[in-house]
Amino acid sequence: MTEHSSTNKTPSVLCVDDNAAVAEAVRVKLTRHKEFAWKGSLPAADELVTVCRRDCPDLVVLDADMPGRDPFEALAELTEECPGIRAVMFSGHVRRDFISRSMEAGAWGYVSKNDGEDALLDVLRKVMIGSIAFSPEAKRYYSQ
Amino acid sequence: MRTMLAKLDADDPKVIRECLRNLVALATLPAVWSGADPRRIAESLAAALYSTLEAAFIYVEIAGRAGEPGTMVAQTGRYNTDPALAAHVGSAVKEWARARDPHDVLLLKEPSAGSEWRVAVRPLGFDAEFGVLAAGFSDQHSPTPAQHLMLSIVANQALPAIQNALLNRSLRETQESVRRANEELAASVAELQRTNAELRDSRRAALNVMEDAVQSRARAEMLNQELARHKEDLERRVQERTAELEASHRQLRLSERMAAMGTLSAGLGHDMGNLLVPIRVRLESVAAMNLPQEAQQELNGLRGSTDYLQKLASGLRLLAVDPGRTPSFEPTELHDWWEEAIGVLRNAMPRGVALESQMPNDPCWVGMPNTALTQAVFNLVQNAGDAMKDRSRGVVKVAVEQREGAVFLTVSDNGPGMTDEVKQRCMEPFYTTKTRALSTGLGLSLVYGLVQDAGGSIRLESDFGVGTTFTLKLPAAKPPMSAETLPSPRSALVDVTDERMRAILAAELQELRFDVHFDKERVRSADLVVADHGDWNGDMKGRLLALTTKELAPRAAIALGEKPRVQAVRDAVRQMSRELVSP
Repeated sequence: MTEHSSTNKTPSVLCVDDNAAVAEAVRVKLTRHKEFAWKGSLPAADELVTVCRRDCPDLVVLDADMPGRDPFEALAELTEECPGIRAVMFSGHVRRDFISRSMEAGAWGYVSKNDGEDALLDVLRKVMIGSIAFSPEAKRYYSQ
Repeated sequence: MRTMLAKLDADDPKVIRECLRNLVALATLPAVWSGADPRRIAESLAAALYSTLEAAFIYVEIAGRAGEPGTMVAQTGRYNTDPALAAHVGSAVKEWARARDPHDVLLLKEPSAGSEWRVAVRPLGFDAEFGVLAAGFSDQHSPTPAQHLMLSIVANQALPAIQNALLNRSLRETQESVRRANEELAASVAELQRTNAELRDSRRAALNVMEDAVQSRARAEMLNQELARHKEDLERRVQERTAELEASHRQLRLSERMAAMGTLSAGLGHDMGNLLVPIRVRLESVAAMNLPQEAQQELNGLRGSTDYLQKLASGLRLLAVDPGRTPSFEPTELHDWWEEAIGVLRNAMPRGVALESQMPNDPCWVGMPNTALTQAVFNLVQNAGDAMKDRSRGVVKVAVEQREGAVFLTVSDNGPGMTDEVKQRCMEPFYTTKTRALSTGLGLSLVYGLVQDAGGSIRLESDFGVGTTFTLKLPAAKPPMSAETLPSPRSALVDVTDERMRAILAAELQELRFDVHFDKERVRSADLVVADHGDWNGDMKGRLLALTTKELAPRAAIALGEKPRVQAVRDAVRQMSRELVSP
């Protein structure tokens, strides 16, 4: 259905999280079975658009609450500048306004860290085949 | 009289003629006396006799009433004006008249001249009862028989008149007395009547006063009773208001504590959640290694701990009073929910404790998500069960009642109840009466947060030694549109260029139970078309017309502008879906 699903290329992921341990955990989780390729991580959203332009990841995993540039602003710019890159929010904050702002800024999905890294994996798979997707907790707020 | 006339016959005829002439003259007197008073009679009698008998004086005294002086008239200028002489003559003639023969002559010495009067005296009535009549003469031949006769006749004539006069006077006096007595009586009667009237007035006034007093007393009693009622009412209201204020104050303090603790807890939960991600992933990596059995067991222990920590982190985050976290009104039907939840709830009951339910007969929808409701009730039921673990015949009852536009869900037990301190603190985060190994102390705080999220409130009633009841007041909800109420099948054509928007529309329409198609050829069977400008060269209206009229028009269409807002698109789709269902 989408260009991604129609190719055999392993989708690549860039992770933006101020907690390096989390970013590393995401790397481990996503690359364990070589289902996703790792494009690296950023501790803040300041360089997001620049790095994406340079590295062209297929997916971006973006924390919603970080020091530095507002992640939603950066996401909106990314959507504008690199429309082919699909961003998924990965946050411990599950709030209706966060989810709403993410979707208006161009996110393809929202994953609650409380739903775990398996939920992230699941959402990324769905996004890669052209669906928007949410982890269970985030889905409740999006559906309201 | 005959004796007197015989005696006259023997005398000189001249005397008789004179006597008769005088009698004729005196005959008119009774007419004069008729109706006169005794004094007037005496005066006229004296005047008539004086001129007729040619006497030196005439003395007439009419008897008075007892104790009163008589009426004396001495018909001479001198005697008439000299009271001493009149008294002298009077006493002599009265004495003479009682004791002597009337024809004897009284010789009475004149006090001033030394001469002597010859006085003829006639009593009036027996023993001079009505007075005395006397005529005094200065010459030696008088009184003559004719003068005697005249005096006797006149005395006899005068007597009835005098008697009448006295009687009349007495009668008048009596009448006067009677009149006065009548007047006095009338005055007395009037006085009496006045007094009676005054008495009546006084009595009436007194009665009025008494009546007023009685009424006043009754009124006063009534007012007192009313006052007492008002006082009781006021006291009751004050007590109620005080209780309400205390409850509000407690609620406020709790809310403040919850807000402060919530912020802290949410931050803690967030950081814990963040840290748990790498821990779990690392554990997973370690578990994938070929580890000895013992190491696997240790690993399982670590996983258990992370699961517990994850639960704790989730709970902590729910405690945050987050302005961006809008209440959830996703409706839940309580009969269906109960069927689904009862298994989990029963498992939370210790052995020997029964779980009972009381549901309304009709379907009952509540504005709270199914999972949140289960989470809240599970915590309450679990707490109730734990409280009765060591008691026999423990019962936990879940009851639902719908009234006043709200749903009241109560969880009650017949356990040991709570002390005042526990009642006040049980909703605080981390407060627990159980051992830490069994409880995080977040259960009731979580219930509080979930109920607040749903726009409801929670009330706790607990009597130490009797039992505890939690009442959740939740907003009643209308049943959502169910699959059964939707026309089937419904299909939608999404002809949108932007991939993400296409995915969003697909998800939204599938949520609304549409079959979603992206192939324009399916437009004939579509109930709804959502399209953007695409590669159409004309205006959007033309594009929609081309889509909807050329090909057996769908029932509805939505045209998307450039870069539409996600929320606006979702709202439009939902609105159109509702309109498609409406007849």
